[in-house]
Amino acid sequence: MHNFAVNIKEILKKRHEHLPKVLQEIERWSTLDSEISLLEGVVQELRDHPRTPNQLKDGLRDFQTNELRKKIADALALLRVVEARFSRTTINIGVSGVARVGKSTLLQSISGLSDEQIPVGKGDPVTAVRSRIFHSKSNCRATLLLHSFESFRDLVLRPYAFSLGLNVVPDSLGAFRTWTYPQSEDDLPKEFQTHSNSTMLVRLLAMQKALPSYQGDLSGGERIVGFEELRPFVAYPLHEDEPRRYLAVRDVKIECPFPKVQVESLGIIDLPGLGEIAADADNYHLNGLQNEVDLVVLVKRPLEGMAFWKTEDGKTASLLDKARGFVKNRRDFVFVLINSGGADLELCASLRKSIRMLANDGEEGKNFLVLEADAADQVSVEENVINPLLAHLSMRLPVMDQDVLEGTKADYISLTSMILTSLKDIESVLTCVSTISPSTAEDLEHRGEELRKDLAASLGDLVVKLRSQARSSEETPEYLSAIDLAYEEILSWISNGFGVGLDAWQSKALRSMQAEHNSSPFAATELNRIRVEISNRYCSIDNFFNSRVNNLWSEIAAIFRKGIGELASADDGKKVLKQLRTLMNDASEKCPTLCAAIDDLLALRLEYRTHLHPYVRRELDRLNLQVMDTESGEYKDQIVVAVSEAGAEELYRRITALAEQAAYYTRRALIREAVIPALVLHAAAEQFDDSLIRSGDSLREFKRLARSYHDDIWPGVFNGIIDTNARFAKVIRAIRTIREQLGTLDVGEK
Amino acid sequence: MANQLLYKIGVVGPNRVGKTSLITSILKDTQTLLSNTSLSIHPEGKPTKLRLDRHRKELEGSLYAKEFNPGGLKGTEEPFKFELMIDPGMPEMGIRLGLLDYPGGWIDDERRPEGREKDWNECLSWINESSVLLVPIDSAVLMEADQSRYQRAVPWILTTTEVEDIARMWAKERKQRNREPALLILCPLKCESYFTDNGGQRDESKELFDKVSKAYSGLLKSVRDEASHCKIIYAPVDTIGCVEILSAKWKEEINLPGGFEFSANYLVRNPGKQNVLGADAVLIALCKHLVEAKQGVAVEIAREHQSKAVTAKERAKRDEGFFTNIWLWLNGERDLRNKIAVMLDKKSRDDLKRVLDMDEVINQLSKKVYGSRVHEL
Ligand SMILES: Nc1nc2c(ncn2[C@@H]2O[C@H](COP(=O)(O)OP(=O)(O)OP(=O)(O)O)[C@@H](O)[C@H]2O)c(=O)[nH]1
Ligand SMILES: Nc1nc2c(ncn2[C@@H]2O[C@H](COP(=O)(O)OP(=O)(O)OP(=O)(O)O)[C@@H](O)[C@H]2O)c(=O)[nH]1
Ligand SMILES: [Mg+2]
Ligand SMILES: [Mg+2]
Repeated sequence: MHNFAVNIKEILKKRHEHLPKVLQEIERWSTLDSEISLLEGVVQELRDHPRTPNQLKDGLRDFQTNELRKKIADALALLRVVEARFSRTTINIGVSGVARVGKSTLLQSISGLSDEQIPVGKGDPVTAVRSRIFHSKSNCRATLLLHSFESFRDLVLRPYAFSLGLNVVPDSLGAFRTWTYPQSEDDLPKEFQTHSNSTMLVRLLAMQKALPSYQGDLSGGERIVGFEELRPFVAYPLHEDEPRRYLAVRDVKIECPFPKVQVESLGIIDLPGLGEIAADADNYHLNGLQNEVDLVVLVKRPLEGMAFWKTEDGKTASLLDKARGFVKNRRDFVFVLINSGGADLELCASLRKSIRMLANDGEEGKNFLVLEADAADQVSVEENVINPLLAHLSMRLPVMDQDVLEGTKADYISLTSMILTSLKDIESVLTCVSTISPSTAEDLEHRGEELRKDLAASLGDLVVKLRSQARSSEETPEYLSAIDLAYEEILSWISNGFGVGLDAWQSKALRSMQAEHNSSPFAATELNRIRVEISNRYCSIDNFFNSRVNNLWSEIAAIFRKGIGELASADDGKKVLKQLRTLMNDASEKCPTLCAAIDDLLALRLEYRTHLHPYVRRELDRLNLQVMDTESGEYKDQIVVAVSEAGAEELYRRITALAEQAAYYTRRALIREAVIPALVLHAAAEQFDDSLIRSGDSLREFKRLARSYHDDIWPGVFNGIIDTNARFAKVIRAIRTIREQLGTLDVGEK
Repeated sequence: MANQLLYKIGVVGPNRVGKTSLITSILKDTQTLLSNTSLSIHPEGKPTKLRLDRHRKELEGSLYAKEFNPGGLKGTEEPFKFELMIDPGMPEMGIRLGLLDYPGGWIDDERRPEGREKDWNECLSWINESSVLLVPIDSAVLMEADQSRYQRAVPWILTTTEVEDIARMWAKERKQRNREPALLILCPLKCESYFTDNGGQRDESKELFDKVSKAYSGLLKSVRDEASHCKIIYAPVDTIGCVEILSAKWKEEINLPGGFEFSANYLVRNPGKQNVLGADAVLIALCKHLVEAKQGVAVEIAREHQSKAVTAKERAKRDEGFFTNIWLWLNGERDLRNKIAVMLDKKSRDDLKRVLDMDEVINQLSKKVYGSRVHEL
């Protein structure tokens, strides 16, 4: 027993793990739905516009999304069912079967409740309302879900009216009260005059007549009632004229401590008899079932005249298939229970046999597993019904869940391909029909080509200019002055006692030397500090580098602006390039290659640390205290002074000399490498030129650019001639959005 | 005196390039080279001795207190012939080296003071008669010219055009005397910062070589074109050795033809004592030169003996200069040998030994491999 409880908890936990994915799918399909409706809008706009060529109009004439959107709605409904299934906090077992087979008796046995809460009776059908019963240690209550008039009308009155061939239903309680229904079968439309309809009509009239007894309950919402007042809400009345409050009840939920099977998270659902005469009752109950139950027990009672597998039973089983949904095996989902309580043994045997032969095609358990128990006996029910069912569920429920997931998935995979087909249809119409006149299209193509040629020429000039700069032995004066500035600052820093002042430095040196009894530790630290300082100060030439890079950007931006006019009009080069990049990315026809070229160009960096420091680093090695003796190969301190005031002075002189020398030689090395910035810039420009102009997609993308931004690049030239293009582009964009959305669907995974 | 071989060596370079320093270094390094041999080298005559002393004192002064002040060495004001004697210990034998020093400014026509044409022409004749030409080169100017505007000033500072003109003149003369060996030595000076063999930490010797080759490519071409038999060696010399560049400055000077004046600050390397390096290459080159010359002359003499004898007087008329010099020297040597060979006294035998020893030392030196700095071009 305990084991089952644990299992149920775990199954539920696993089940919840599917939930986020399902919710995500719901979200996606909802988005797709609105995107498809958007597509429809823009297609309509294009189709209905007077300037759209007729050929295109004709091609788009047939496009409509109703079908697709209905399918999406279905898929969403399905997903919501799955969502309900996976978010349920209980495992529910439905108890079904024709009237009077002992369903309620079975529930009484399980719940320990009495006739007052779960009515059973002799003769006429008793259970009027579906009840869900849950084990609860702490609660003992019944919660009614009540109809409003509207739901009563739609779910109860309308099916009756429909079955009787009456097309209009009252739209208010008052209208219903005084509504004129046919009073007998003869008043019904000819083709609806059947025996069962006459019974149905009787019931409908009874409902109208009894309205005063339940109209007060048509409040909608929930109501908690005591067990002692429950019966009128769930049972049919014994006599015609008694109140029919059950008509106002959609559903009742009962919580109470079960005497035997104390499994939390287990719900048992008592379904009113199927195959009942009430209009549409079967469908009504089954619709609920698909959301609500994980397994159904079909109860059979071997009474005289019922002790065999009837045609109705087959029908009921088929009806249950609906509730089964995507669960693959009927065996998993439907159990037959032979309620042997108080029944004749022979009849039991013959029922058993009949079930084997007819329901299971002669093979025990082929289509249905068969249970046998005395519904009125708590022990028998526990042992022969609940325990075997829980065992089954703990094995098979995960499989059923998987079936459901896959079934749902298969459903929207086919939907996906339907949508794709539709998109392709529009696209093929769009590509067959040019929205612009051939001559305009040609002109635009030509302009795209010319634009590219112009850019190519100017970029080529720029590259040549940069190449000659890179080859020139002449240093850039700004570079030299940037270096000179840093150099002068370093020299003055050195001569100001390395930033601390001469006297302070010397007395610090002396103190340290006295403490350490030699000059090396202080000298080593100072030399290191000086090395770092010099290196850092030369970093200031990055300002110059930045300006060079900005210059390059500006020059290239200027080249673009010559070609594309007001399209990108920011006031500095970098901004213009960024604008261009965005424009190319957002173009109705994207230009990824051009975009990437600009990205690369914008990523260009020229930095002292990266580009020059490696070349000059060794000059700073002069500032290592230890130097290698070139003859002996041994390292020794290059400065050793006496521990005295004079020593401190000498140390200052020597370190000053080394620092100046290092600063000087670093400067010299920087100047010797003066060509590096020019080389880097030239390489960057050449690379840009290559990827912008000479890459395989260049020409195609320039044409795209021309088509996408013709009005900005050549304002006025194409006025009106190709504004259809904008509408055209909108359709393309809408299609692309849908495609992207479809692309994100998780369809491949098991 | 008659058997002493006079070796005239010409030096060509602008002022402040280091001519005087190079000459004194050659003496110093040669002394080292000849220690432990039977030969010695010393200044010949008092003026040379005084001049060398003065130079040494000035250098010491410029290296005072572990600081180096390039201004401490005075420029040369008057032409001066340094005479050095490689002495086997026999008064009438030996090799006299004559090096003519002059104010470097004189090679530039515009900077030569009025009225010194005659003196300058004498200098030029000396150079013409020299079979060896030393070209001292200011390495620092070449190496520290890190910007193109400074690089443009370099030929002006090094006066490469003037140096090339004189070298071409010298080479033309060598062509005339194509039977006598000719030797051109490019001597980069002030190059201690670019080598690691004398206390330096940074090896930029390759760049130095490239820069010298480039800056003096015109000179090299002229000499090769004019005198194809001329030997050329590249021999960087540290005349001080214990200094290195701390920083360098290029000061804009509109009045200078190059537009810039170059100056360098130096620091003094430990232990702060002069340490000449590389000047031995000059003597080694001279010895190689000499041995080669001797061989040439010996062949000549043998040929002449087989045909009819040519008197010294006739030869002197026909063929002046170094070749005659060697011819006479070798004749003298041979005569001396013949003379001593018949006089069997001890002094004569000692003298003979000295002559043979000197021959041997020169032979040995001529076989010596140059130091790693030196390139034969
Ligand atoms: N002795 C005995 N009587 C039973 C058993 N099961 C059902 N009955 C009787 O059969 C009659 C019908 O039982 P219910 O439990 O009301 O049947 P039901 O299937 O709920 O009928 P509806 O609610 O009308 O669909 C009642 O009189 C029960 O007492 C049983 O196992 N043993
Ligand atoms: N650092 C360094 N300095 C040198 C070297 N050789 C010469 N100098 C310096 O160069 C300067 C000129 O040297 P000199 O030898 O006087 O030059 P010079 O060619 O004789 O000059 P003039 O007599 O004016 O023609 C002096 O300050 C020398 O100390 C060297 O190898 N290294
Ligand atoms: Mg019942
Ligand atoms: Mg001089």
